Amino acid sequence: MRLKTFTAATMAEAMERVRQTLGPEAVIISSQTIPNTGDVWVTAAIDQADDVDIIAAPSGGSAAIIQALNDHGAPLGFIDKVLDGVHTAGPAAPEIALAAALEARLRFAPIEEKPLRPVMLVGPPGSGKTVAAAKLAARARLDGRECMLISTDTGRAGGAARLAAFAEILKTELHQSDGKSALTELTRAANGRAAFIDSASVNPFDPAEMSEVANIAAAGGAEPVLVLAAGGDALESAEIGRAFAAVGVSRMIATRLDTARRHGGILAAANGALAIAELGTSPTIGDGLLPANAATLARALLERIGTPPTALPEANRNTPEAVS
Amino acid sequence: MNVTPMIDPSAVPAPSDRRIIAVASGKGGVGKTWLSITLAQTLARQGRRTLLFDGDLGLANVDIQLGLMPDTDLQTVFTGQVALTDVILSHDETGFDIIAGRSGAGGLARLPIERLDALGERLVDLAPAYDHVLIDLGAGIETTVRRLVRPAGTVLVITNDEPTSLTDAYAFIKLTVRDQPGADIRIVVNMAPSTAAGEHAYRTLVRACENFLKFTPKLAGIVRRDPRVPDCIRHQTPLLSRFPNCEAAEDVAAIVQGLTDPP
Repeated sequence: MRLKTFTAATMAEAMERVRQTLGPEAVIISSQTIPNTGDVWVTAAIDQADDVDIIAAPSGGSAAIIQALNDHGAPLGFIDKVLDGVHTAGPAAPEIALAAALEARLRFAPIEEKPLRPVMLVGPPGSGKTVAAAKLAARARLDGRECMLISTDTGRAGGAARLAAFAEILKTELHQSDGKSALTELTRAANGRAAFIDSASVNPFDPAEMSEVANIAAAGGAEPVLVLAAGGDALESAEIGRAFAAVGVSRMIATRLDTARRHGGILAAANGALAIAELGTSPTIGDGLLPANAATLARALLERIGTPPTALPEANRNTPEAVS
Repeated sequence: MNVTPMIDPSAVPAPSDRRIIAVASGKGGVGKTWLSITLAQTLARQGRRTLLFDGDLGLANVDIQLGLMPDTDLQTVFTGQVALTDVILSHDETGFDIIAGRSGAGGLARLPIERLDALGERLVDLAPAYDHVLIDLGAGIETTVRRLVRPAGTVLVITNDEPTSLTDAYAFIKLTVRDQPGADIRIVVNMAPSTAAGEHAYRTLVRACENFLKFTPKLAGIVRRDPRVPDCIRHQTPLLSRFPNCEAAEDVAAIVQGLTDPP
């Protein structure tokens, strides 16, 4: 808009000057009479049809990705880095763009078919260690591979009882280990078979407990793998991830992606600290664990959006039904 | 490769909240930051939980006007693993909460649209904890300034009675109407020599909007020029802490009345 004021002796004269200066399109937007002189003071304006920029809206892909990551409660700093990856990837469907960005930002390292070392599931209380151990054993059994289950959770009443129930269904050896030397013996006896070790919960913020869990894993020659449930607060989960990384954990299994709505905690825990090994996406023991990769995670992050809470599965669905 | 069609951006509606009020101007130096602070202080004195977000991302001024030395600000949200809620400061003197920016933070001023949208969505998430969230926008009509209008339910456009300021306010309104048809845009005439002069400036702006945009922005209020205002700004003291009953304070209280009255 171009705004111009005119002073003239009469309104007619002012109008004429407006037309001469601004052209026939000009509009008078205010007029006043100056009290002392009786002159007319006129403000006129013209507006160019389209003289201004139009916002370059974010591509549909990144708009959907921002909304998804925001809804999941991912930290803003993480969203920022992922968007860098989305831009580098160029135009693509949201799922493809997000997968490419996650690939660049996070590491994915599924549990091997034949792990070089026994896998020891570690983590805070209630993260799903026992179910994860059972799911790993079930996967081996369904592929026709022999394996053994070990529980070091002997101090707590009923600690190993659930795992025993799974071992019976899976027709898998279960051993209880009540000390470091016993664990050393047991893992030696595995003799080339995969061994999955369920361990007692630890407080991630208690240095003594954390170093003890690392010592137990070392005694068994095992790789400690963090089991962490989705739905946790992002900053809290990030601290848990860093605490386990500090005692030598390099991979994590993310559980309960099916019963939690917000996966920002998982992203925050993995971000910069841990590789994501597996995704727990269903309560079924037989196929409830998916080897993690960027595409699977991208899909899981995008498909939650818009799911009304009423359509979600009931909480605590993690109880196994049967081996499918 | 079989390319899936991209989602239409308009199919992802921008979340907004009626508790969020953006304070904009177009032209700088018309008292935007001062008005944001005084509105927040007025709301807080009425017992309303109020958050003031310094949305002038490159040249943040709220902390400077209040004489604060914040340890954390928006910059730390984007550099570290700190949540937006972690950088909220409670300002005891005025009774409202503040998210400070960082003056001279060039990186924040160049944030791409997607990140501004992410920030805007976080503000929408924060809004339910407050009665009012005020966003003090930067001057200018650039995309980075206008994009933070999206989360707001109401946009206050500040002008004074000078042709430059009226022209820039018009430009801001024109772009905002185009970005968000139906936006609740209201005008504040600040530093008016008199109430009549303020009304005249408002009518001038409204006629331009009606003629060229077919849109009639409401008048949110007129704030009369008051020498105590620049005096307080120089002393880095909020107006109501020193002159709770001065003319400018009365005028801001009238604006708050209009904002808080049910429609």
